Amino acid sequence: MLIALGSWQAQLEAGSAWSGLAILQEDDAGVDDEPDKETNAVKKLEEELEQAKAALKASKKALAKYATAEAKAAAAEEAAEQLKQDIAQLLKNKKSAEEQWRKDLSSAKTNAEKSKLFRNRPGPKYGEEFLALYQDNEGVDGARKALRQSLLAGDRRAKQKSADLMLKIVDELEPKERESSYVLLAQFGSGESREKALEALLELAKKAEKDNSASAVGSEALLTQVAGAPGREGAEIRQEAVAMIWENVKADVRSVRAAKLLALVGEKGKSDIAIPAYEALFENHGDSDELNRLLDNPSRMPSAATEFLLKTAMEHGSGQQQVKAALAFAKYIETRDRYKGFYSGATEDQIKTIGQDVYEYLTADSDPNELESVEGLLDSYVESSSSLLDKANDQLFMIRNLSPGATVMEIEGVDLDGTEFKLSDYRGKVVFLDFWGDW
Amino acid sequence: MYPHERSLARRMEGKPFAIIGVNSDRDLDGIRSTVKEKSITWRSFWNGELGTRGPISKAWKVTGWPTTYLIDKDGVIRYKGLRGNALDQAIEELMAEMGEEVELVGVDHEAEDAEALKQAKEKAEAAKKAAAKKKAEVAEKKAAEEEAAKKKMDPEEENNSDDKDEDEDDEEEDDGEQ
Repeated sequence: MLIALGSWQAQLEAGSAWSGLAILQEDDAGVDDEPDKETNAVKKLEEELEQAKAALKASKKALAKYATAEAKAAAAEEAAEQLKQDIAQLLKNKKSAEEQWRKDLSSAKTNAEKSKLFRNRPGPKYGEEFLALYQDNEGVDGARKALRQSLLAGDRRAKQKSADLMLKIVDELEPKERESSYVLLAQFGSGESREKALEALLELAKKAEKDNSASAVGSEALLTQVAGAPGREGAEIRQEAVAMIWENVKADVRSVRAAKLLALVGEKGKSDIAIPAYEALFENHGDSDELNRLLDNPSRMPSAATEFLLKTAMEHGSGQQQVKAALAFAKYIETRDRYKGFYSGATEDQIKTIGQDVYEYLTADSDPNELESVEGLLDSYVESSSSLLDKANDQLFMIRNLSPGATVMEIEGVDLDGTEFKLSDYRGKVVFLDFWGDW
Repeated sequence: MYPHERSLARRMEGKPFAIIGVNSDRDLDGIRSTVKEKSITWRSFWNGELGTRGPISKAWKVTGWPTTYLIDKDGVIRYKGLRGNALDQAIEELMAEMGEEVELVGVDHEAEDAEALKQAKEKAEAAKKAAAKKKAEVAEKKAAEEEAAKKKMDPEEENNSDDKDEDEDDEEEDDGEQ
């Protein structure tokens, strides 16, 4: 555009010179027959020159503006590039710090060294740095990557702050990133951010189910995120998701994917759907990894469903499963009885948190002979011996010596001033024995 | 747990009831000062330098802290892991078996404990003030006595002074000796 303008200007200048020459020639001739016409032509040329100058000025201005925008874009690009490098560098540093940390941990000899290492995990430090990086670059392209990292690696405070920041922007994101951000918030957020995330994911799942009722794979993955999220926020939202999963899976309990979903419904659902889910799991996936995982590591939260799971495995499981379940059940009884003590005077808020069904379960009487069936199973197992032997022996010891009804074991030792004494010195008194520490 | 236990220890004083701790802190000096600071009046076994891996908690298979047992007069474990209201209720029950009526359920242990601590603190401060006052009085008296004694002693002291002082001494006696 400029070049065209330039050459036109040159022509114009040449034209003026030519018309000047023409005037001279006419003067020589002494002829001045058309003065108005000539003046008009000059005027016209001058106007055209003014216009061309204005056009030149405008396009110079446009060019300058364009250059500023370009510089700005270049600066933004540079900032984004710098941020990208900073993030990559931090990630690299974090990775090598974590590798070093794992090495230190595996070579740590004493428990004190180990617990010191656990207190100084590298993650939180980097979480903090990622958070600072995001806050310094909030408008910059790619900054959200730093925010995601601080949400993943940060300590509780950094996670909370990152989650709150993410919650502010999440609804403006593209659908795909929005969804994955909500998944992150459901996993690593807390309080309001997690509850909002669960709500949003449930909505997305409902939408996915409606739009594509033939295959609910998308919705299923989302529902699994909601039902399986850590923490306790949004209990009702979670229960709705669990109920939806149960509705979907109960028509198709035999499929391979069903095992995982049934286990999830059993673990997270209220008793009225959790127990039938466990029944279906035993019936159709009796030797699945999912079921065995549950028996190795059953939910610590006492409920009628967990009791059903363990008792069913003790009665109907394979040999290995029976022992696993007996071990788990012995531990479970202890945990449950602690809860019973704790929740016997529960407030309404506490009942709401654990759920009415769990509260009713905890305040109901338990089978007084339940420990005997555990003992019987473990006894027969100890005779046959295997890798779980130590655990089985420990549990038997606890059932026999450390459960209500057992005569208390003697303790002989010294008090904090070094004076010797025995627990049996206090026979004849009611004794509250408290294993404590000031930490 | 401290407020509830402190409150129990106060309310059950003189009754056939005892709180016995098994302490799993490694640092014995540290826990001794904690016991003083936090008015932990009941007795504890020390689990030894291994802390939570010490011999008593190991024998008792303790894996979580606090772990608590309620034991009756005959040494039979009756409850495990109780706290709060449930603990109060169970203690009432076991005390009743011994014919001892105690009232624990419904007591606001925290408030009672806070009040008791406050009173104890005020008492301790008053005692401290009184002690400081007495100490000041004693010190004053002593200073006065010393002053008086010194005045008496002064001439003798000069008499007893050693031969070092010979040169500048203006005592006739010394000169005579030389």
